[in-house]
Amino acid sequence: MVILNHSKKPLIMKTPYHLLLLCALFAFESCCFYGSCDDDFDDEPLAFSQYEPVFLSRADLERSIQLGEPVQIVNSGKIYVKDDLLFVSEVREGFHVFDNSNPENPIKIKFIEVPGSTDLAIRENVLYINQATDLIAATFNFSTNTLSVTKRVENAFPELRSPDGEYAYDIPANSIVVDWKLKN
Amino acid sequence: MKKLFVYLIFTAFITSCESDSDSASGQESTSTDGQGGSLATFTLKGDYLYVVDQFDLNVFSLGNTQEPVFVNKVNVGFDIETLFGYKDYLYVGSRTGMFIYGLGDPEFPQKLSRVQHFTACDPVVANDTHAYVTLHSDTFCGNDINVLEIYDVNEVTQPVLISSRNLIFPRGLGLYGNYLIVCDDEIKIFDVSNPSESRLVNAIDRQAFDVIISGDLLIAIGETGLFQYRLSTSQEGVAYTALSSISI
Repeated sequence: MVILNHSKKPLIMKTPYHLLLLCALFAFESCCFYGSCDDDFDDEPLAFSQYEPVFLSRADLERSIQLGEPVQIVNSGKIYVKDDLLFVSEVREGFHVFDNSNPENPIKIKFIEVPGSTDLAIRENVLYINQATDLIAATFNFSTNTLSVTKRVENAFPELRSPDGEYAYDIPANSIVVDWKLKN
Repeated sequence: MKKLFVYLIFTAFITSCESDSDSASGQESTSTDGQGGSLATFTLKGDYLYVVDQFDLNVFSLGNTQEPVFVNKVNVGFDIETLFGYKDYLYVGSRTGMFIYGLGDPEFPQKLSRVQHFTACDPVVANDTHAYVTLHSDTFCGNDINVLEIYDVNEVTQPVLISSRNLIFPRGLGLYGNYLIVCDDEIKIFDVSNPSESRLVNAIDRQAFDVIISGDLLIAIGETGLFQYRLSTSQEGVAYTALSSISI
């Protein structure tokens, strides 16, 4: 059960296997779903998800983390508290930061842009964030308006699946799925 | 110069001892760590950061806080959703059940037990004696199950289901002493001083999907707002005062 990994690059052996399994499932499922195996599947045979993936090149992903001015909360996610700071995830976009020293009047002070993120934890002045497949560590000091990434563990986590549980296909070279949007 | 060098070595030695004893204390969270809600997938414990993804429990070493090092990946199962750390245990919530891992060896979390339930999403929180799990189902979580389950975890290798009560659409939850706060169709407050007979004692008319209880402060997040309340207990039970609400 335990996959020990001595090298720095994580071994994610499961992903290709799951992909294979998924392909096999769909090959099989399509017969059952459409009634007859003689049907013509040329019409977008892989358009099984209601969502389409959003990609970022690895280079852009690694440049994407920025500390910015507050923005409107649109799609609220998880919350996290550290001392007088309150963080609210903007799902797969980043984190809203509130000065919550007075909970009767929380003040939105920053937005941390991290495409692909949903979760964070904080020790001292270090943020740990999941950015799609990567874990990043970043130090912050909001009073001096600084945020700097101190470490990126690439491919620590599996590829992002769509909300209805599908994997992306035709992923451009050196690109990462950072989000899924509802198809028009 | 030599004296300075010796002094530096000595200081380094002392400092390293200090950080060792910090991690050995195994507290729920040190003051240097923040606090997440019950839907969290990250937890900090000693010199490690634990993160669940859909399949695995990932272990990162924080020997150097700014530079986490990936040390291990433990396969848990499918559709893993939440991670809650309490003392030397990790509670993993998945769509098929709750898992308890022991951190006797922090780099190799050991599976101690698993309870299975019907397919539903399930955050979990725990204290010394009990684990509280909400099961809810929606389009992606299968079945029409909306339940609060309470397990006796005095024997972590053999959790025992002692209570199961139907709710509307329970999601995030948090403990406030002998009270359990559950995000349902409203934010419900249960007296769980006798966990086998949880008693609804109060409710806040807000829709939220997760809460953080930090001291007497209740922070709730929903699709339509961020709400904060001050909690207080008395002989009669638990009361709340609205502090702020931010519409989303």
